[in-house]
Amino acid sequence: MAIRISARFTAQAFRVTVALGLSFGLGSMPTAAVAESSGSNALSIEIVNIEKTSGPLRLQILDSEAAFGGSGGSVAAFIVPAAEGSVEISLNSLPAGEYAIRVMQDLNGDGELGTNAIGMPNEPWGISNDAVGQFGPPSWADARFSLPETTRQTITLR
Amino acid sequence: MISRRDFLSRIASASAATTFGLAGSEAFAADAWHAGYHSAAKQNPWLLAYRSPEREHFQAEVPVEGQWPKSLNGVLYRNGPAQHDVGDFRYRHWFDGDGLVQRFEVKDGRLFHVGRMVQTAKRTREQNLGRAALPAFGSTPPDGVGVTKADDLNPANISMLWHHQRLLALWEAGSPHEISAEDLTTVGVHSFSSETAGLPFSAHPRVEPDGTLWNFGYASGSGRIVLWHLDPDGRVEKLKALPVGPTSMPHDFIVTGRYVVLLLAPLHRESDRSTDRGFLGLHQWHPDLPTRVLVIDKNRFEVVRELELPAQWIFHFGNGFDDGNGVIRFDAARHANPDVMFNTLSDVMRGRWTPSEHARWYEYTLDLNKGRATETLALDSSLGVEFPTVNGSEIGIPHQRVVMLSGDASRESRPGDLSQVSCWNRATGKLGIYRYPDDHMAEEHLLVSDPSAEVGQGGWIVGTALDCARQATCLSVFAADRLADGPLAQATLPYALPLGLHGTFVPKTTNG
Ligand SMILES: [Fe+2]
Repeated sequence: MAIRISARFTAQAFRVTVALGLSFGLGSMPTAAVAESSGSNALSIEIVNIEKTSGPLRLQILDSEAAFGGSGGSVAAFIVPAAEGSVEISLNSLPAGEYAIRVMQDLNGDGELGTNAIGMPNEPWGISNDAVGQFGPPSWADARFSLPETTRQTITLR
Repeated sequence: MISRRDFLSRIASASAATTFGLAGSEAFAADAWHAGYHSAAKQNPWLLAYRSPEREHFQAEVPVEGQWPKSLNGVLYRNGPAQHDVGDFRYRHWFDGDGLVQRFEVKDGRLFHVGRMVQTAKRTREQNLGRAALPAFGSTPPDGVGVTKADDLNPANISMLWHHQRLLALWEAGSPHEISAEDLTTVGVHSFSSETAGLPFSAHPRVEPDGTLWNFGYASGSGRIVLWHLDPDGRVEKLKALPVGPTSMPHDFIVTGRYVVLLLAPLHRESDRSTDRGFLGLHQWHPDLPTRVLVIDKNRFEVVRELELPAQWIFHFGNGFDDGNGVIRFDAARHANPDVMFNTLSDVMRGRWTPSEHARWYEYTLDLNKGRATETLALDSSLGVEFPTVNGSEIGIPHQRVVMLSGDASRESRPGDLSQVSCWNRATGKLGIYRYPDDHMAEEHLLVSDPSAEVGQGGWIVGTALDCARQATCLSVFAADRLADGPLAQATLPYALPLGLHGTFVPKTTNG
């Protein structure tokens, strides 16, 4: 299933916790739009391991360590319907540079990544490069990739 | 994907390759700890205590020598880290290896023993990869795979709990694993409810005589400690994720009539990025900072008082109780610092003994009215102690006796120092001691009630020891009040098991 993204929308704060309970805020997200006509680089994003179709996928594209760490907004943020198995999203107008992507599936429709009592996610999530932490969150260094060198990112929901 | 048989043969061939100097091949070249242990183990019999088991499953039936008490019926379940080598990688810490659970049962003068590795998701993943790949408490294997939740690295290797007719193998930073009480096969990760799935459940829950269970679990990265209250049927009565700031890594705690007491040592997690020392390597010891004492109301799970004690490291408490008027007492095996954990219990894995200060037996008073915490040395400072246990019927109320391992703390520590079993009677001031013969390394011993005796009197002490000379693990039973007389009965297995951690004795009801 390929979806072409061009709409404006709002993505809310999104938190992920990994490993031994380290919670990290991914920041509150202001309204954001796909950058239009500011670049010419294409990027295909495939989200895989989608087990449920009952909630939409929320994606954010970030272009700095600060934004990845939760301070500052995203370059682009969008909501796409989930399909069983995988969803593919094609972007074609990004400027060259370094980026990271995070995605979550909003199963309960509250606009946030659901977490348990210690901040561990209980809704599916994924990060570019399939970055995961060891005793803490994945870092910008683990998650970043460059355009135009990278043309495709496959992200596994966990 | 590599089969389990291939995986096991790799483990076996890894040590053989070292022995025969075949270390030229890529797979065996790297690990100096592996080579260090296996070479030192040939010279030092005590290193048998840290040898990986040769197989997944142990089963034996052996005669009991002496008189096993007729009214002592039940099963001793034990757990402990065992898979210390994975392929050619040797863990850097005693606490890292996958758990080996065991059951000991005496029937008609014979001991029936079963031991089995816990088949955790971590173990299965590493067996499929054919190598160590997940970070551990004190090790970070090279080329590690990522972790998204604590149970990804749960080795289920610390203790056993029998509760609401379930046998659970416990770790301390993740979920319990349910184990079949009969054949010890792994049923799977146990959740007490869907909302609490995956939350940390420590290896030292406190179960009151009516079956009410209290526990905690640290989620160190989130600065929170989870508090658990389960009813006798294992349902979550209440749960709280208490924000506490630097969480340290508390291993045990205290429950009294009215309070839950947590001691947070100044061992702070100061990094998220792994060193080569696993989870432990994220932590820094601050000897100039106090140990925080959190006094928590048992009914509301709210901190009602925070007190301070000097910096100290406690793995294990005896028991605690309060007087109903704001005075709490408890006792514990007090280490001056965590050197034993950082150094001694790590270096044994490469076949080295690094001495560290023994723990001593201390009694503590928390006076909530005066806002004061005090501590007193309760047994002679020449007595080093660890693995204190009390009778389950005395949890949260004034206890008569504490059974613990002890050894000579008047000189520098040596391997196998804790080869004495001690019974400290707080009421009479009497200290009974039995010393195992040379070459024995004692494991935790438990105080088991005699239903026909007065509360706090009589009963038995049951425990295991590793005979490094005969290369065999033995089970012993003592009369609790005549410990110095030596074992009433003893049975020796036809094999040596790696030195383990904690167990539980489950009495068999006569009509059951
Ligand atoms: Fe323990």
